[in-house]
Amino acid sequence: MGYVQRILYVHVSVAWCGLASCLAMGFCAAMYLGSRRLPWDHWAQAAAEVGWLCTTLTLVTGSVWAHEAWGTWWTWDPRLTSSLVLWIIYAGIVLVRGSIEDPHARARIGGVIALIGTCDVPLVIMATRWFRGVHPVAPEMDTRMQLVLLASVLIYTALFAHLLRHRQIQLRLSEQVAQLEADEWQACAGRWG
Amino acid sequence: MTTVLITYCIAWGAIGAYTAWFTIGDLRLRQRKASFESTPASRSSIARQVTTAA
Repeated sequence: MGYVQRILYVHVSVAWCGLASCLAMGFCAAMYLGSRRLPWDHWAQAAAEVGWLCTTLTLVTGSVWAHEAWGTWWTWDPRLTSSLVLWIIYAGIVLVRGSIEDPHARARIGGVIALIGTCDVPLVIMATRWFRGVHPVAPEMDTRMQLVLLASVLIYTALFAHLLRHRQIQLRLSEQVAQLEADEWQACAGRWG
Repeated sequence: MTTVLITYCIAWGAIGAYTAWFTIGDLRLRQRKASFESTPASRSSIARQVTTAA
């Protein structure tokens, strides 16, 4: 494969982060639906955004790799198709969340879609084993390549965990500012109204 | 070689763009929160809007 195999280091790492984000999103959505506490929803929303970014990058890097390895940008392989379904689920969650004003309604509807979306994760992981396709199952690798891949996965995981944490803090701050704004509107309305 | 470089540029460009987007949003939110906390309610932008409307 030559130089092109180096795409693998970023492709596998972002694919892993995309799947992990989906599991994190599902867990946080379940916690919100159980407790109705908004901080859980902030985590779920941050995970949805980071997961969407990772899955987009998985599809793009995988497509470039496929073009070099298989001679085509896209094929309806089970692993590729289930990954595309995951991307559509993430995009749907982000769009639905963006269109609802009320924080609890947004969290409730987003949470239900997130839980449904989490069901796609086992399908993506097991697609190469359950169905016949062209995507490699577990390719043979040199020990040095395995070490580089492991380091890459760890670094990307740390980076996306950092992004996730920061986005969650920002969403909490956004909630506080919205609350301050609402309080001020109420105070002004009371004073002049 | 070029394909690999382009792929890495796309990946890091996307990660950078997402980070920049929410960093700018973060700075705006912090400024907004600080302005709420430092300005008396009677002189805030909301108070001005209510006065103008009245």
